[in-house]
Amino acid sequence: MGPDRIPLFPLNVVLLPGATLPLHIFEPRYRQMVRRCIDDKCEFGLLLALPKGIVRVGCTAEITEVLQRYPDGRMDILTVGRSPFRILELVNTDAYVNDELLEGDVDFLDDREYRTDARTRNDLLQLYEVCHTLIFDDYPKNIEGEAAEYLSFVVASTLPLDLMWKQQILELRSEADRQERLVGYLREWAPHLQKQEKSRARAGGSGIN
Amino acid sequence: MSDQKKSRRQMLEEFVARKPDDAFSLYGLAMECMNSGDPGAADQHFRALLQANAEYVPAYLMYAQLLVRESRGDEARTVLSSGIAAAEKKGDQHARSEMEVLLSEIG
Repeated sequence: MGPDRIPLFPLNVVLLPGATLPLHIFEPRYRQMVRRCIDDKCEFGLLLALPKGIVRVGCTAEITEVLQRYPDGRMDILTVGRSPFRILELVNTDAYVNDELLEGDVDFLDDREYRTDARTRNDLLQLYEVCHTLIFDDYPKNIEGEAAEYLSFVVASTLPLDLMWKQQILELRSEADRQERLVGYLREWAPHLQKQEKSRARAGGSGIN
Repeated sequence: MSDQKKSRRQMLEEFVARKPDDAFSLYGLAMECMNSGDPGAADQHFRALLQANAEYVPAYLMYAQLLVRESRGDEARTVLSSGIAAAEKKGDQHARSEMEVLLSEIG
């Protein structure tokens, strides 16, 4: 089977598998893309756009709900992150600057390794619980019930982490590596949370589906 | 679901009760007490934390700041000296220089 061709939506966010992301669609090229995805029941690829260009690894977004349609064609939609992918080739490299829809031939990325280390998992849960409480004034919901291979994505998409950190988590291909990376990062990040109490932005990452 | 929403401090106290040896929970609780105007409780928690986890570098600077605010300069100096040693051992240059600055400020 050859690579799959999917429409691409570069944006200043990192979507992770399982995370929900509401989007306001107003550019004509994306309105068209969304209509096509709804009609064909297909997903589009979300990619982090950086000043120097777009990254090569993104995550597909499934449209789960159209929240609002405006008379002029704009839409509010709700999406959920599904499959991480790597771009093999951009089909129409000039599209982005020409206001056309960008498409890419992609490889979907599966995890190579499913085993996780119980101790790392416990460390991550503990850090997550405390960070979540400090940031949102509440316990995280239902974390024990999360599938083991998803825990890192739940944590990384719920806490307001740096975009480049989220991108790194998306790019790692084993849950054990993702959990370990997150534990290291949170250990460093967490002690600063209460120092920035007043300036801290409350808006965080998106919730998880 | 609980019928009444717990305060952040109560939630943190619960975490600490459940896992007394977790440095970050105890640090979070100490910071919460300090930020919500209970320096006495914050003092206790910082001390318990550093007794059990002498290598938990972030706590030294915060505890020292609390002591300075409470006009306990001598104790702050002792805490900072231990903190600088702990940061050095861990190779944490940033924390070390922050503590050195505070130490020179309190003279």
